[in-house]
Amino acid sequence: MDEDGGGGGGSSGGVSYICGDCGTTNEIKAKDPIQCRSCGYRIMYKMRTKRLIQFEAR
Amino acid sequence: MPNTRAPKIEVLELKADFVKFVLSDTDTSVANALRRVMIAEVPTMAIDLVTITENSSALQDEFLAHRLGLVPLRCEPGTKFVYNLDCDCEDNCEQCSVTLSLDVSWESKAAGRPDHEKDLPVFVTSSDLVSHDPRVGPVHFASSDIIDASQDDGIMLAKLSRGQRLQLTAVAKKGIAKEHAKWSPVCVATYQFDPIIKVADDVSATLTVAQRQQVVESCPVKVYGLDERTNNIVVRNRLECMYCDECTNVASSLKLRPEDDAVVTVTASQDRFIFSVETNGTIDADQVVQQALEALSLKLQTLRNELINVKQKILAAA
Repeated sequence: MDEDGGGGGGSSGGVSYICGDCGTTNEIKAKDPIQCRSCGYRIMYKMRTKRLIQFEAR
Repeated sequence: MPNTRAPKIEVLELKADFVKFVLSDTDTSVANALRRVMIAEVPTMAIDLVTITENSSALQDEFLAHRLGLVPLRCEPGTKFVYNLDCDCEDNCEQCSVTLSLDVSWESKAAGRPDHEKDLPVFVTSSDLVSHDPRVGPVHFASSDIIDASQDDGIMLAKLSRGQRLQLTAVAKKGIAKEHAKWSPVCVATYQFDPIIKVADDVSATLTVAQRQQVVESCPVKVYGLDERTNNIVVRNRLECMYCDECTNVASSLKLRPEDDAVVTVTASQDRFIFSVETNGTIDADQVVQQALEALSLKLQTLRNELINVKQKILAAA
């Protein structure tokens, strides 16, 4: 599920997200509820890619 | 038809980053062509490709990349690069580009600060860009002998707070400002028409000293003065004139009859142009003018060759 180099989660196929409220990193797998494990908040942010990104400076 | 004109250049002032000269015996079209070539067609180096490894700063990658592109890069005199598009290399090489790297984290810069400044953000500036080619690097606005005493810390790129880091490599390429303004070598490249200011002494003789004083004082940039001995109007700072017409308005109000001649007249010379060129530090001012003239003559050469080709084609068809 992590084809676009996104969150770069663990080895178990999950993707890491950052909680919008408390800021802890959560690893969420497919079909997991979208909810922070430590505070229950439901808005999660995807992590920045670890790939190199190129930009034209113009 | 042979060219009967021989345009001349007379340098009035020359510094590393500024030149003022008079171009004479030519017309506006040539002066304007030279100005436009200086602004848009003298090649310089500028960052064109930014590869961001880590950016945890508050600024977006795109924003930073654009900002980096606008940083002027000093190119040592005599440094020659080829255009990336004309280069034989696959991607980029040292013939056509210069790599610069930047790696700043809050921790690396805030170390060793006094306690009361401990939590303040650190500044990432153009001085943090490390060039891999000693001939090219971010400009310093202070000359090298006063660099230690100067306040010049480089151009601000971003601010980092605790835990943030910026790591990237940038590739600078040669280009011209016709493609993007970041490649322009100049901040100011302007010309003004050389003013011709005439004082009619016979009309002046009909005026009272107070009236002459009125004409002299009408000028906001103090072009005129009164001669101490004869109390006649004299031109003191001709080149300061900015064609505001204040003096001619006063002069025409002092006429007794409308058909009389005015005491002062200001006209613009049609074949003398005063150029002011200030660079942004990428190359020296005299180099800007010289390279612009070369670029201009190359253009004319191309036009000439094309015209010869067209003529030959028409003759062959006939």
